[in-house]
Amino acid sequence: MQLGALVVTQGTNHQSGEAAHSWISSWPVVGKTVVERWIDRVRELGVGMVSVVDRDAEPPVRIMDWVKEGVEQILLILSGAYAEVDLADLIHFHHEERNRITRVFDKKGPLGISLLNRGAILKDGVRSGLDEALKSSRYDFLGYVSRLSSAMAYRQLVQDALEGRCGIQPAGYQADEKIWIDASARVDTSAKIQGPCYIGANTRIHAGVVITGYSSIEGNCEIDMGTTLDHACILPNTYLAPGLLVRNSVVDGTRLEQLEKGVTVDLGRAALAARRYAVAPSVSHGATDRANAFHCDGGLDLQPPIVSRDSTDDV
Amino acid sequence: MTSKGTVAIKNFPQSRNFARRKAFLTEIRNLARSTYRPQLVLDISESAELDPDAIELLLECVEQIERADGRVSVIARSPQAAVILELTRLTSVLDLYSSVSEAVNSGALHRYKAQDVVQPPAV
Repeated sequence: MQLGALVVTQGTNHQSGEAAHSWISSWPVVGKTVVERWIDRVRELGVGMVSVVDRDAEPPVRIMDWVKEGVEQILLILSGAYAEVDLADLIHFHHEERNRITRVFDKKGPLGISLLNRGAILKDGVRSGLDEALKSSRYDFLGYVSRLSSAMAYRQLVQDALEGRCGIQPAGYQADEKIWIDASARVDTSAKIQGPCYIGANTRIHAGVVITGYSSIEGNCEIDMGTTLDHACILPNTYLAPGLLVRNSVVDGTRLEQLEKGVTVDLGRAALAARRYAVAPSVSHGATDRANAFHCDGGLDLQPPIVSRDSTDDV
Repeated sequence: MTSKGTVAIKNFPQSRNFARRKAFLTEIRNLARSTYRPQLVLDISESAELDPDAIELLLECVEQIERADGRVSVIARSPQAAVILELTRLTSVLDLYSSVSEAVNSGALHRYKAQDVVQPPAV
């Protein structure tokens, strides 16, 4: 039976207000976005027909195209949530119950994941995929779910990933217990890194930086000298000035959201942060190639600087 | 001696051109010279944003007042300004309040009068 999967992203609106969090599903979580993780899981099922569309870009049109091409079932995923649904079990349930439409729910409500039969789409039109009022069967999911409705929810998901409370495996090389560093990251030897934490691809950590408290620094970031990150998420292509104390925050370029106070600040005006230009990913190093795990600044860093001073003392 | 000195309350200059900045720093220096353990309260509520110049000026104020063994408190009504002050670690060298009354009620200031600057008593 031919199955197609359509992952619908929630748009890329970066404006403030209610819609401001709609792009969170496009933020990477320790190396990969939620959308990329959905695609990986769909591909693991052996589904070759996978498409990602923006919600504003008329996903129903794509659904109708597939139906006309003879696709018999469509797995529709609205990527507003990260949920560790067993997709194979969902498909099995859908077949066994002979459902036309199966929607996935957790205790809080629908998760935006539906499995649609071709017949349902032909009968009810394209809205069968999106209209929750239509009659459908319910698949109850009791596993790990994170609704990415706020920066705080995103931060919690990162923390759960680093703590191993969900199935997300951080990308990169595991340098120490609960410390993941991408092979292309450059970390100064004097940086103090206390796990759990994550440092992404092409990111540069300067001298005297302290990273602690389940912090994650995604790809192509630069954290300048002496800055401390504590319970912070730094999104891709972000530069942070020297000597800062970033706590309980999510920083995206020049935009900082302080989670405790619920305040958003533009750091660009104070010249405390900047947006870096994205760079093409560097040549991939083998994850198990320990010798290539770090690029050292100035040829001075002779050892991977991933063990904190505290940990070194214990050894 | 552990007593606290005179409290001076000032509005942080919105315009920070060279002349205004120089005049403001002269006031702060005079306060630091003429007062034992001055307590300077800077109201930055009217400053729409904290730019690098503002941060530098704040640091200079802290430096001048600390030379006289005093302490600087900042009144920041805007949570954004408070976040910037914490981010730049300025809160480790100054006290942060959301209003003058909060600063007074905190007990950090030993006395407060409504004048712009409370002059030290004549010796």
